[in-house]
Amino acid sequence: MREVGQNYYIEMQSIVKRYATTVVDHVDFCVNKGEIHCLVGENGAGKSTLIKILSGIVQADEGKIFMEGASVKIDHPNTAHRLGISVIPQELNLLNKLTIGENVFLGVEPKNSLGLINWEELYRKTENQIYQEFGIKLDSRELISDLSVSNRQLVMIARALQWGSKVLILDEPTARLSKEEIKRLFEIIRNFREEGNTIIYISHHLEEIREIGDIVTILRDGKRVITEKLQNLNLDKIIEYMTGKKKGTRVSLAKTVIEDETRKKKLLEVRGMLNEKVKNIDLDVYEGEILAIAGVTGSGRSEIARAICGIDHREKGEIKLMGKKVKIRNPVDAIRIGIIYVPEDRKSQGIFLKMSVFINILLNKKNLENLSNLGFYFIRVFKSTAQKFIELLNIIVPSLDTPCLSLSGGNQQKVLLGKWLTVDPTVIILDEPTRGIDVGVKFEFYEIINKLAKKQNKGIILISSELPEIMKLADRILILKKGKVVKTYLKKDLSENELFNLIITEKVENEQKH
Amino acid sequence: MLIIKMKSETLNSIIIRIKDLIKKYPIFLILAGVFIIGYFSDPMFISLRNQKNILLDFSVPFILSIGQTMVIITGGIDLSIGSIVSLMGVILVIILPKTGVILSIIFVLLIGMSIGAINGILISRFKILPFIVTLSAMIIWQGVAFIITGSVPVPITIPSFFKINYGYLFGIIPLPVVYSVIIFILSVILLNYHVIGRRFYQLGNDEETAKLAGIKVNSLKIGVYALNGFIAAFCGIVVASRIKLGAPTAGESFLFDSIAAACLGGTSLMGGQGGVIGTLGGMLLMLNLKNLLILNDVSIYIQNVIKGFIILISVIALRKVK
Repeated sequence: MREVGQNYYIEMQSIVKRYATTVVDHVDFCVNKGEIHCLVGENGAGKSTLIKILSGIVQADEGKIFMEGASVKIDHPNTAHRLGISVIPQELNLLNKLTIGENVFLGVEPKNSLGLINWEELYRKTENQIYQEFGIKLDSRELISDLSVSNRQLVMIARALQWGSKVLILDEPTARLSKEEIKRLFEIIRNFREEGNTIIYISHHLEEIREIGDIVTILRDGKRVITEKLQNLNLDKIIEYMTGKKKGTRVSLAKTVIEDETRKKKLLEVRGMLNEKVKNIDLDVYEGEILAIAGVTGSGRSEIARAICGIDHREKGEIKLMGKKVKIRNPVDAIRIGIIYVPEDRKSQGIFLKMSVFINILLNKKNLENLSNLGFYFIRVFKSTAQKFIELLNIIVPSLDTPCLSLSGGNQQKVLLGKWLTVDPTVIILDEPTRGIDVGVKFEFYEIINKLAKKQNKGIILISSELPEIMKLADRILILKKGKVVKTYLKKDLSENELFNLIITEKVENEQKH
Repeated sequence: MLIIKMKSETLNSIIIRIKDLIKKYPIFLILAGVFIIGYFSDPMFISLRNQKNILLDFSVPFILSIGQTMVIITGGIDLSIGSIVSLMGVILVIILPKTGVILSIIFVLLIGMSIGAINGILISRFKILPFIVTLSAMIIWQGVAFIITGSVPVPITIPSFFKINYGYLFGIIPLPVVYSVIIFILSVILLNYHVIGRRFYQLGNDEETAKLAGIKVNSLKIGVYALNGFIAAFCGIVVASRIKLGAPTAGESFLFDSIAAACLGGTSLMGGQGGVIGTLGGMLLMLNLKNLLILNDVSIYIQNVIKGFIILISVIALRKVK
């Protein structure tokens, strides 16, 4: 256990931050030079607020910050930069319409006394730096909007290094990366540590934290629970500290998954679906079944869902719902016949952040038609319907009128799911349903998903990049590569490692062909 | 053999360069189309004299659209430039006889810059949308111009002032053309090679990110509107010298052309993208088109309809190219 006053590299002493409630409550956070210090806690535990205080985005109400023994006042992000502290946030703040080079040198461009920029030097230096630090070659004149998420992240890191950062704060850096990209990122993080620098690593993925981290600080309800070397903690112990519950009292999912082998009615049948992203997709979903779609990033997981629902154009292909051929030209058709898609990016595709919870739950065409009277909507009818779903899904909200913006990620995701359950769908396509959600709510979600399939006999397509999630929930697993179905396996025939190998080796074979 | 090979290589590199240019500024492709159509419909169209006339018409709107492009790149818009042009002419009528040409010009440029700076301050410090601020400014300064002169234009009586528009460089190049070339070159350097110009793009891309990178966003905004006010005031001087009047409606027609030229040239109204080379193409396209329609005796009302459609169709077509 670490205590303050022992000359750490960074020492945050007794930090307090109050909004409506106390979100950070006398937290001590001490980081040594040259370590990868993980910060974990459920949503609302105070991680992001603590990091915002350290990076100067918000100011603490009480408490002091020391760097190398000297008291510092970080009242602006610029101050943090000057002290060598940089955040790589989840939502990467890059200038998308400008080049890699300009982003890396943002604010510190090489220029002459007249203020004219030396582009040659800027681009050359950027390329050299990215090659030296990360071992990959990028054309520094390329626009950010043309880059993959993982390369954008590298540009962010390169910019931080350009600003002379000695402390990198990574907030959920792996949320949108594939397995290989995560591996590359971890190498970069380790190299950065070898050079004597410091990393603060925030993640919901406990396995990742155990792989990369040296030491972990666990927060719960705004208080620090423990700071401990990771080698002294096992997974159950970490979860116990995070949730404050012993293992036995947590929901054990193994019991809730009913091993039901009997094939029932075929709900959804897709044959020969073809467009730019997916090639000749055949798939079936049966009543009460969870079909998982597994594949690396870019294999066309979301694109299958988008094509089924008519969001993306289909060149060919037949879709049958409960044995009847259906026409789906756009999402409205899909919703009407009972196929719904809960998208991956809830902020941009799922939820109206500034609107209230109940509007969000009821906001879809079918609902609005059913509940309206000659086109007028009656708030009272709306609210009572919304209330039912809020209770059903155990959504924690102060009131029905609260804007979704102020909810935690987990609750936002529940609102999104609730919105679609109101139309009583036949087939539900869930795209990364638990991304960015903390462990406790994750388990709750697994239970909800499982119930939807097994109790209410819905057909569920689960798209996920988290293999443990697939292994826990799926009945069958469809392996996807480059937009093509490789094979569909029964879950019981696969172990997690086999599944991992299947996805990865397919990828490798694929690359060798090129 | 070697010579032929070298020739084909230089030819190739030239073709590649032209291809790059067209890819970056596809507006020039449309412009070339207009020239071809123009040539076949009336060979007079590409005669030197006709093109010279177009160039004379071209200078003021083009200079204004350069300023507008810079504002749009920062993610804003300036609707007040037409009113500034009018107001400056009216002010010149009053002060020219009292203070002389040089001092009057300096004074007017300073007023234009201050009007722009006020826009910038309202937008950055008081966080009012650029559209609202400059719309109000447009109405206010137009009103002030009318208060000063009434609705009747007042003649300017200082002959030396007319040289600003009617003078020549080396006895052959009309001065307005010289102004537009100089301002164009300066703006290309500013936007592409100078750190302040790059800040305009960075600001237009994402204000929050720019702020976090230590860029002084507010000063930058005030600066770009002040610069635009300065440019508008300069154009006001040239216009007054040209029409030899202080007319409260002199600048009315310039606003929409300046925005249209910027959009045609590939500058996104969302900000952060585009540049003045495209705007050059956009402005050339609009003026040549107008000239072509006049040569073919198309009535002014039909001209406007065609102009509107051309803007729409071009923007859609250009988006397809990208």
